[in-house]
Amino acid sequence: MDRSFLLNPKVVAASRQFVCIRLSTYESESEAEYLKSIYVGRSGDLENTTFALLEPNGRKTLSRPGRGPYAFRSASQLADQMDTIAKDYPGSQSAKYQDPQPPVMDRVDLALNVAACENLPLLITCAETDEDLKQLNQALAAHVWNDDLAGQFVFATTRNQADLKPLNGSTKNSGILVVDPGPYGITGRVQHEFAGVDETLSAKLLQFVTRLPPKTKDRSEHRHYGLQLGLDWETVIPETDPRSIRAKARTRGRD
Amino acid sequence: MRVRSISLIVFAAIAVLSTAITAAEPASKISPKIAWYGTLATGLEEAARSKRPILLVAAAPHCLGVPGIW
Repeated sequence: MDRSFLLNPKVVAASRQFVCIRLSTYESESEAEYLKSIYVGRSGDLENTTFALLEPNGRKTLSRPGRGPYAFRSASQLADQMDTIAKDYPGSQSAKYQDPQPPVMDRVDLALNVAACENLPLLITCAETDEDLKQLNQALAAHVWNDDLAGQFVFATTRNQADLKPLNGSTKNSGILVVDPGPYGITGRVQHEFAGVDETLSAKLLQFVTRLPPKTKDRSEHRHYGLQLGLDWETVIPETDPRSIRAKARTRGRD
Repeated sequence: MRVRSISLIVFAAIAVLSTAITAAEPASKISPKIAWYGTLATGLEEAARSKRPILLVAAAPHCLGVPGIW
């Protein structure tokens, strides 16, 4: 997918009127079934990427879905279309950009990988009980849905300490961890730990984000060294994108 | 000797100034990004609650099996 569309400032601004959902293909049976109900390519099966604009019920499409935003000539046209669509939804007109929960992923390993893909820090909430975790996430939400911090972290939540094993530098069993993912997203280093949420958290997170050195990746170099290291991400369900399967077989010498 | 002292003072002043500038970096330096829900259940729940339309994207967080890249 052409990610330049999703990084375009006009598209980012328009996205504040939408609920933005980014799923990891092949990581959940039920999400894969849902994605197939939205779009399948020529192969008739789920492909690596999907793009769609949808009604709030998540069923009716508001533009032609596809592997990417190819129904639009440019990122500007996509942003304009999103602005037009948003006018029909009162929820989009709300001046208050404040969701009640942070957009947490429920698998730390997957969130670490996604954070590496995005070159973003990972913020993990952890607690010993579901109730403590719920309260922590609710308190955190008040600090991360603002124009400065929205989109600057990938989020995960867990009460399973084993999920934190790939992380170096963690000393707390509960609270908020700010993690710098390794390049391949299979390890990470804890940069900050917060015991809980207080009124200074937004400012501290903003300071952290502002001081992060920019990260970039060279795609072919990343793949080259990843293959040399023998890395092979195991998906939850089998991959079904013929192009991707063929390319992987060619590269790794599999049938 | 005097030139060296002046150079040192200038260098120190630049160092102090650049530190101050770094400490006061404005938030506007951060490039705005889309805030993504990472699971279908939480995203659909929020869309139903807030009555906002949905921007849906899916991608595999690995390329040729190598993680850390879309």
